[in-house]
Amino acid sequence: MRGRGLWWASALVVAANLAVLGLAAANRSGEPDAILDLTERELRLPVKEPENTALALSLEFQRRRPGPETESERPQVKEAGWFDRA
Amino acid sequence: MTQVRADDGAPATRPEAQARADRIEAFRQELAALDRAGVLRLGAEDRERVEAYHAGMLDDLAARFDVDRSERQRRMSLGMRVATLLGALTLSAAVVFFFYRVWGLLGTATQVLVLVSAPLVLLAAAEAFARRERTLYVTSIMAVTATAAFVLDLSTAGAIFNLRPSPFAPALWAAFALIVAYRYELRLLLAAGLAMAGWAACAIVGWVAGLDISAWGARPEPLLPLGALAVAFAASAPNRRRPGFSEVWRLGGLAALLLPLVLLSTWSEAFSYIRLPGKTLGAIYDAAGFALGGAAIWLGFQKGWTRFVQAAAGFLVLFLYVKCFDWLWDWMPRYLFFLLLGGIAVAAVIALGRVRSRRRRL
Repeated sequence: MRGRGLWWASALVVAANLAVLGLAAANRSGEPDAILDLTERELRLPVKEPENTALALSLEFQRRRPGPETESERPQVKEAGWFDRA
Repeated sequence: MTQVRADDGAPATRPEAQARADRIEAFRQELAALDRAGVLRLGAEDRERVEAYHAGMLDDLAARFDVDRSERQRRMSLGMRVATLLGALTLSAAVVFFFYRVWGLLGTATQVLVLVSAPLVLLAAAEAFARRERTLYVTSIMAVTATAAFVLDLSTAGAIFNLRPSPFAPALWAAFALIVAYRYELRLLLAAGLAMAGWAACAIVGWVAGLDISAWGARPEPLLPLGALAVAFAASAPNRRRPGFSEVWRLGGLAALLLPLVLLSTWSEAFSYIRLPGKTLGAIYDAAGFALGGAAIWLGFQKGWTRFVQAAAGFLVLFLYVKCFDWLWDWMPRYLFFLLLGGIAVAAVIALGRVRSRRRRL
């Protein structure tokens, strides 16, 4: 370990990144099961932080909780069960 | 004057070398005190021989291990350790914020290239400094920053490609930190690696149990067996060869074994995987807290692990206070509650004082 630690650590960095890229490639490969058209109402630009130049989109959604619905809880539900099936 | 080589019982590590240098300094001061009191006066020739031997020994230790030879140097070394910690934290923050500042200006391929190369470049820098310096202060800064860059690498790559958070990411970060800690014998990084390994264990068990990602870290039961294993592993050969590693493993294991018991005994149903009635489970963890805390103190005394005993005693006092709050706060008058806590503190001081004097007699 003492002598080869540098190489083990470097190999770990490279292997972990290859795994991430492989997962990303697998995630984007093949034909989509379904296609969903989204508008600016659902896809929003998050508030830009001054120290962060990243470009990001956030997906806004609401889902009705099963059972009787009250006015106060309606906009708070954040589980995208419908999105899993799309 | 006789030239003496400092080669008898030569220290193999920096702490051993520092302990030898401290003994020489203490010997010189005591010899001077005995001389002033007229109890022992060495002849000129003997004094010269001892002085030459110690001077040769200190020169040798300073050349090989960069030991502190005076109180002033010792204070400066402490300052350098504090500066190292601050430097490691602030440089890590600089790497993270710099990347956030520029990554929107880069294409995806360049982002990935920068993320992958940052920990590798910093690792190379740590290696380069390790070959130049004996005290490894700058090496430590580079190694901690390389670990932070690797954490940034995986977490940001996951965000770039919209991957789901993985419970295995903390395990990879822990592996990296531990490999680098063992490579350069860095206790700070070892402690960070052990903390990340504990987090990884909780995350993986939570993931296997089907918990929501936000609750992965909120079930600390996997830490209990891992803490016991860490205390047992502390005495292994790779740790004994590296200064301070056994102690970091022991204290890390003790923290993993005992601290979750505070949560598990007080809010059992919220923090435990075990589906038993809350009161039953709480009572089991109450008993475990007191039994394991006491057992840790006993073990520490048996093995002569001073900091282990101090940490276990500190935990027992904390645990007792938390339990008193849990059991008594609602129905006991406040003055009586705090009187009881004060009484417990006094009893703990008396009990520890008695144990201390008994060990001094032994």
